[in-house]
Amino acid sequence: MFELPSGAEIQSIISILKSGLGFFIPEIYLSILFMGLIILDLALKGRNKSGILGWATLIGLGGSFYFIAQQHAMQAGEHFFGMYVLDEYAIFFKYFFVASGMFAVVATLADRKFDAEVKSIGEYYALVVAMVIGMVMMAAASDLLMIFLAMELVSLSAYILSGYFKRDARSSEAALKYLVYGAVSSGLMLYGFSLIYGMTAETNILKISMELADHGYDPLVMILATLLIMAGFGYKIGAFPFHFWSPDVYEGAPTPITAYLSVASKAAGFALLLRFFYIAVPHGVSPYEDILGIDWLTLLVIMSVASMIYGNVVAIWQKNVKRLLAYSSIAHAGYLLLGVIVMDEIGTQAVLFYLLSYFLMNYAAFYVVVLISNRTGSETLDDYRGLGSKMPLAGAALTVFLISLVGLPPTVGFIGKLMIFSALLSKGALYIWLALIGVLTSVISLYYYMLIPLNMFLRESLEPNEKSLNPGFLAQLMMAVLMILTIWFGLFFEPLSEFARYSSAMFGLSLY
Amino acid sequence: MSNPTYTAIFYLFAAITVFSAAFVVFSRNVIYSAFSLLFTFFGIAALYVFLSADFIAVTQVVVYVGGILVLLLFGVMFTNNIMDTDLKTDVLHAIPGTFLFLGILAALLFTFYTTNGWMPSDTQLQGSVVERIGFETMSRYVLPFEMASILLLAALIGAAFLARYDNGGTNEH
Amino acid sequence: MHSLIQLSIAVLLLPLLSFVILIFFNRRLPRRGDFIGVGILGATFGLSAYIFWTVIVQHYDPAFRVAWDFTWIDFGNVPGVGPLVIKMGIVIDNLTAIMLAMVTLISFLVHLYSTGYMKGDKHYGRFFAYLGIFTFSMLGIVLADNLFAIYIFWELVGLSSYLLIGFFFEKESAADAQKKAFLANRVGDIGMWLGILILYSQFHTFSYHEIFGHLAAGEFGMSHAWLTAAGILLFMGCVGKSAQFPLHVWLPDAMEGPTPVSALIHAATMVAAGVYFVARIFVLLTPEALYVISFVGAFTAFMAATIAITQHDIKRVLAYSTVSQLGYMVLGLGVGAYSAAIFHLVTHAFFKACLFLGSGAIIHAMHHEQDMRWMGGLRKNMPWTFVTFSVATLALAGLPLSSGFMSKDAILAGAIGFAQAEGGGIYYLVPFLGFISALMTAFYMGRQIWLVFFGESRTHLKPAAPDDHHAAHAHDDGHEGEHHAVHEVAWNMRLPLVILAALSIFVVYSPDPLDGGKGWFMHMIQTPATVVGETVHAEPALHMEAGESLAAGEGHEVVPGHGAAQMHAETHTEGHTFADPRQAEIGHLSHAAHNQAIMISSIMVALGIVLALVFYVFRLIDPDKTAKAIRPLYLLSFNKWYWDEIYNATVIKGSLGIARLLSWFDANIVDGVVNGVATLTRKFAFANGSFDRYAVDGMVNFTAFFVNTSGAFMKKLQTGKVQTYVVMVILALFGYFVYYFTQLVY
Repeated sequence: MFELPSGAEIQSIISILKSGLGFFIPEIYLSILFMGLIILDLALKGRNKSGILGWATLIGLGGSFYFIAQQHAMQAGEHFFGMYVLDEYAIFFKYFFVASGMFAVVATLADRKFDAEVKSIGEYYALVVAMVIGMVMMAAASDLLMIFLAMELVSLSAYILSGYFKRDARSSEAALKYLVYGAVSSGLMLYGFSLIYGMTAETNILKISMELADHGYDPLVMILATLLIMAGFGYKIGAFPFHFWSPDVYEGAPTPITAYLSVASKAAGFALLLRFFYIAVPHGVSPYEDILGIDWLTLLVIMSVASMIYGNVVAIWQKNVKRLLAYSSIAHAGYLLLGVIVMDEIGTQAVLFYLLSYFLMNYAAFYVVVLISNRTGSETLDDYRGLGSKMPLAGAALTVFLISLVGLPPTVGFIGKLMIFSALLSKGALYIWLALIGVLTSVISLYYYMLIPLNMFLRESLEPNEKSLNPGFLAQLMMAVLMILTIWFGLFFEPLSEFARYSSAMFGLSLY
Repeated sequence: MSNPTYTAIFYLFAAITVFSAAFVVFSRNVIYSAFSLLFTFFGIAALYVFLSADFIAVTQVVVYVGGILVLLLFGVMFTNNIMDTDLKTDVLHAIPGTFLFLGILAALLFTFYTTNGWMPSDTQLQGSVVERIGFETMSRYVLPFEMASILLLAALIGAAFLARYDNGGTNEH
Repeated sequence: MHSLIQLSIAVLLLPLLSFVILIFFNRRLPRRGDFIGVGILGATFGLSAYIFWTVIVQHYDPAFRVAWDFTWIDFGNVPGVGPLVIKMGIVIDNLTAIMLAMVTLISFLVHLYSTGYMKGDKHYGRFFAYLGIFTFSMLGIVLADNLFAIYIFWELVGLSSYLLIGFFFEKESAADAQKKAFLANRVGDIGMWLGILILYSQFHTFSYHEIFGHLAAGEFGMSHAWLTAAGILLFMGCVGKSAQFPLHVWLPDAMEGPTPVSALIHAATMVAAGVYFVARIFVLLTPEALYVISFVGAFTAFMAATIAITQHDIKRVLAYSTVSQLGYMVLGLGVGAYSAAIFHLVTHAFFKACLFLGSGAIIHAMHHEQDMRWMGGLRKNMPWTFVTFSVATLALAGLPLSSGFMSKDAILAGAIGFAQAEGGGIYYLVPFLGFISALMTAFYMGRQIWLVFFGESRTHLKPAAPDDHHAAHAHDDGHEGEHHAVHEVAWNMRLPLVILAALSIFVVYSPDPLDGGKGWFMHMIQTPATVVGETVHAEPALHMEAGESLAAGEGHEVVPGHGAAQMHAETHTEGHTFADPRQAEIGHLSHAAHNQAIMISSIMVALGIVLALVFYVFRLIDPDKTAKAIRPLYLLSFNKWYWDEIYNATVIKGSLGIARLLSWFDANIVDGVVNGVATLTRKFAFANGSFDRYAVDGMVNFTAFFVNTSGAFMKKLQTGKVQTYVVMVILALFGYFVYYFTQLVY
């Protein structure tokens, strides 16, 4: 029979929870924001509702920076009985996801398609915030249960958001495919978790690590568990061969959500991947050695190489800009995986830096795509013809962002790739060929990325009307700022790389 | 646990679960599938009982069988012509599919039967676990509990959004 | 940060600003934004002139140097490579200040000139944008303080040159010339990059200053031969960019670009960048490398001069004369006449820019007629052009009172000194070729002046070849009313000519028309002390020589070596001092050979002019008959020594052979593997067709083709059915599992 614990025990539990609360303020704030937005949606009436909601979301998300910034002063540690961990790594991603959420809102405010397609925008912003909460928790979760719940929260919000244009068949199709695919992946991952639990009887990843190190493990089960968990994580990061959902979903979803998914959701997957495999899985003396008795690095290497090659090669064939960017995001997942393969501080730093650069350039590229589709109503490559003279700033900005995505100097994307490759090379000759594949596939990516500026600047428009299209002052300013930032951080990237280095510290990491 | 009767009953329920689940997938009639799901849920509830998770078993029956399945059936029944619709998929690769199925089955079975590294639970559960579950939910697992509530809220909102009748955007042109 | 550095950053970035504005907004701006280009360049020149004033006039210190740098990328300690830090920075010394003023001035004048010359062109605005980016890159080369930065800007000037050569890309010859220039430059750049890497591998820095410091401290870990190799490889960059033999073939073809571009890029600045670069790295060149450089330079000077004699196209004559003069500069550096070479670089930039702009004016006035055989008598119609063109011609030919005279003689004196210092023999070939080229320079320039400006107009003599007629017609569409009327050009094209011609007169550089050494220029630019001194002495022969001369210096009247340095310092108040005995010896001997050089070269020039008079003015000898009499030589010259044909037969045929091999491979093996797909065959036929054209294209197409087809295959995985996707995942997981399983079991 269950016996109620003594009063003292209960008191201690309560005090632990209370103390944990102090480390949990940004998440609480975001949850309140989430619910507040739902209520605001119900309370508001009138024409400017969607604008007010958007700005409220933007300001609300911005407010959370204050609470996140205060966490820098706090001690790294586990809270809520090992459910939640606070460390520099988690704080980095909190900033990252809140900023992504804000950017998604900005892109949504710019996107005219919402006015035509969507009747009620209230749920939309609430779900964007819910997704931020889920992603923040993904980066901060240190328990299998929390990981699963956080991932489900992200996925669920994402399903609905990607199908937000209900009357658009493509959007609905995207949502449905996403749902089916995501459910299968979650199921597989859960299966992997259960195998790990079966071997260790623990759900906390630190304790799992200790158990595995102390009691040993059966390599075959570990392989199976690792593979199944990779299916879940791979789906989130959109790496080959778990990427199949992404082109369809990215194409069908509203463009701001495409950007949101391709940056934030992917980053959340990487946050989780790094933490899980660095902490939960005990490592040999050096990363070169087979970990767990299997060289699971091979798994990552195959995924990474296949993603780089597949993403870049298939992107060549795409006629739709969103779809093209979707395939390129698969390739970027491959580059990021290269940083994971390095398996040390430099690699983590490189991954974090690459994510920052990817955040900037990919969001910015999608933002321009939104602006262009506002004017032309289309996202196909052919409709980009001659846009360079009609929207010169948008054309120039998009070109800069694409150059950055290719990874050419003097842009931030170049530095990101450079850091990944140099992190790889720092591991010695073993990884040179990986870096080489990375460079070669980047060259391929040059081809299809440059198709867009090619169409915009060097091909004549199919329609002869030469009137220029003005995206509006705020949008112009935004593009100019993003363009300058892309180049600025390409030249003076010390603050970013320092931030990434500072943030690569994970709680409980015994790897280095 | 080595009681042969015990084992026999376990396999009986396991078989019910698996076969009814297979029927859900392979049946071409939605109604049959829905009813077959009933058996799957029952079978799983029985398996929970075998794991001494009686509270979960009861919850399973109440929530899934009593709630979700009934809703599902209502939905199916209200939909026009659903009885006549033949469900078909045009992606049918029977032979490769079978091979894949057998391969995975073999892989999983081989792994489970050759492994002896499982960690047995150190506490033997006896009697009702409801109190313990309640206590743990509000202490150790309070964070996942809250997380689940946000998850469900998001799901609810999403469901409401999807279900709402929508005849066009805010700016009718 | 020093205020000069801040100014120079502004100078560097302003042309870039011009580029950015013009490339995006030229269609929106009135007059396609040409005033922005001209205005910004004017401002840039103003700032440069201020820098020039501060550095040269106010400081007047041969050792002036201001530097600033910042860490661009810090990789930390990269295993296997060591600490890897890439810095970027700016260095300003006398050389930089002079180059800055020269580049911005010529660029400004060319901008101004182009407002007239390019008027009405379809891509008028874009032209100015390209000029902007070129100027930016060129200034980058001039200002950079390290090899990495110079390499970046080196490629950038290559790119802008590529863009500008092919500016009239509708013309096939322009497109071909563009490719040729690009490929030839690539060959040189690869060598240059390898040279940079050799140095980097030793010192882990790209900075000139640090490399020189390490070298001077004797920290070069590899053998002397490696240092020579590094020097020669770096020189290869110059061979490509400054069109030295054997990569000179691209420069004459580059004249397909608009004439202002020829003046700015392919005569005055970019091609001189190679010489500038060699001057920058001068101190690390070993004597062996310098031999190579001097012989390459001498041979180029000679060969190009012989070709220039027989060309008919007015721009081609100038192009080969540019190659020849660049050969002089390289020769000058090779023989150690460092300051003379730089001096010639600057004087040449002005008078050659003047010549090109003048020829542009002529071509403009003649409605795009470039063949000198159909010109003549222009001095009456175009007096301004005639006078300025003549002044610049005199400078190029090296007549006394001109700037070219002083600089060329300084180089030739250096060459004589070099030959004497090296003990004669084969080394006398260098000054010999130099003097012969001087003769030929005078000859072909005399010929050009005569053919273009004197006599009667021969426009009507031109045979009306059908394609010629067509071309002329197309060009003249706009001038139907004033057909064949030749007028002087407008002020915006005249002013640059006058300024440039004025800068070709001796007083600008030295008070004494016979001795450039007395001027400010030679004072400000002095031969830097070599940093390979210690390693040089590892070479026994030279060591002996230096030692011997040192020993001899104590006993004899004629004192080479160290003694020479002292004596030199005593006799010449300019105070050229040399730390290195070899340099000192050359320096001293060249000084001694000064008068000798003046004499010989004056005779040569006079002889050349007389020959030109004999052939073309007095017609005592008929040039055509002479050509027949020495037909093999004439054909050799006329056909540019057959270099194009030789390259065609060797390099290009060879590459084509490889391309065919690849094509065969593709046809028989790749296609066989991926056969059965109908579309594939069609694509392949397309790829096959392009293979035959260029080896490089072939390689690229092969890759693209491969990538494309594999992409087409992989694309098929994306069926659009979510069931398939799920199956794919399961399949992948199963595959991975089987892989690990087999690894575990075995």
